[in-house]
Amino acid sequence: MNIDLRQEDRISADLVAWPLAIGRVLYEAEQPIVFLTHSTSGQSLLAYLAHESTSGIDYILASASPRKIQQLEQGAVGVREALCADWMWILRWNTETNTSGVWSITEAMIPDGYLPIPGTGLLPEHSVVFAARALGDGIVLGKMPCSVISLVADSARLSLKAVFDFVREANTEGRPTDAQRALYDLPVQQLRFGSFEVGLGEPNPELFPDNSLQTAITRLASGLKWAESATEDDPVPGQSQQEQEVVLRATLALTPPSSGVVSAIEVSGTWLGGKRFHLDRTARSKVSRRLRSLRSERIVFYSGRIGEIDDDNLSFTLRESSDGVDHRGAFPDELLDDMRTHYYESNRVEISGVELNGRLRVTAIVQLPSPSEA
Amino acid sequence: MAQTFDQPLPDSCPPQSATARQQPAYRIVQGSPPSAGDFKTHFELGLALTADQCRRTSLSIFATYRQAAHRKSLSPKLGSHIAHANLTPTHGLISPQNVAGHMDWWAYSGMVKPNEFSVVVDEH
Repeated sequence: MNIDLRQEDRISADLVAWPLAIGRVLYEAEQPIVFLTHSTSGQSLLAYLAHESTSGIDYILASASPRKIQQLEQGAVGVREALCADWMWILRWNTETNTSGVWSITEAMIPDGYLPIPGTGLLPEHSVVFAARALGDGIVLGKMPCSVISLVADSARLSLKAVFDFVREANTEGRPTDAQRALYDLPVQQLRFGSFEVGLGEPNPELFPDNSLQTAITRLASGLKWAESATEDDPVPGQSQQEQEVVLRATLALTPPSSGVVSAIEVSGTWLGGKRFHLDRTARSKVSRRLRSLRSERIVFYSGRIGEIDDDNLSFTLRESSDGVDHRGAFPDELLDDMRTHYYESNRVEISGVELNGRLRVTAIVQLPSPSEA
Repeated sequence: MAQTFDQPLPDSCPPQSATARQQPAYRIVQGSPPSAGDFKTHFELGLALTADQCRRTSLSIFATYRQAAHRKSLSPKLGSHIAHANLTPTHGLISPQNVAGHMDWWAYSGMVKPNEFSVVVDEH
């Protein structure tokens, strides 16, 4: 590992004995990779085998409070996050000279590839596959508005939903299927405060036998990369205007609002191959501008009677409409009671909604006065 | 007929818990397609000097893609790809899986065949 170790960061090699005493092994492959050890004074340490070559071996050592280790073992914190939580040392053993040295280091000093990918849990089932992290001066416990929590959770959920729906050509109307539900509401694997982060765990792989998940993530990653890059002249990823629109909408969901305490959102996770995308308000403006130039959706108003309703799929058909055309569409769960009432009472109604690629999504419905009242 | 191994093994190695069996195997490799260099044991590479000497003579494999991908995320420098093969009892002895899905494979002489492994693009 090519790391710049400064003399002023060197601490006494007597703090740890070589070979490292291996206490409880937390992750083992061909040899212990993550384990508990202790200093010569008996302080418990978290150890990670960072690098090994014929000339030497590098271990990262960090604090190992019982709470940290419990969180690590429960999957509530990733291995890298546990190592980098406070202070870190590197223990370097030189096999040619049979000598060791210990230095105090920071995460930034460690070259790429020698720490776990952010969000990687101790065990395969612990890993954070997708994470969104809010950044901003006011993002600290006790000061952070609770709306930040929903903003971060929704940004991840809505972004993934947009790309998954497109790739799977999912029925985006009505109630989601089990597979859709699993994707739209992935389990929260980690919550990190300080800078608020929601880390999502992997869905049941059996629900996704094809490669649609990977395709969707690849598309989203291309959008994130485009948004993060400085120039606006680069073409938007996507083979069709519809695909470009989907990629931009998914990306836009992961950008910070134009005002408020969240000034940037950082997106990471194992699905993104260890890359960390930093999206600030400039990225949001850029994505919004390009999206406006592509948008094919429009706001519509129709009046008529609800001639048919499907409670299970949350869909309906508007008949006897003012333009003489039947309109099929979908409505959100919260409008179900209203829609049913208007259907059973054969009320004349006006609906507003958004039509995108011929699909109507109802946003509001009101009853029109009957002819006798008019 | 007693099976032989390509390298000298310590006493009581492989352990009795290792079995010859059908086993899907996923291994982290550098090359695509994998080459002989991707199938060197720690003993052959002169690494893991303080580790268990028997395990040093084995090759690391995982039971599923997900477990191998997790190992790769844990130590990104290990390799760039994950390769898959279906091992059979003729390939050698394989330890039981540990909690992370890791297994040690002691290949019989001549049974490490890189061309039997193919790089898996991805399996989410």
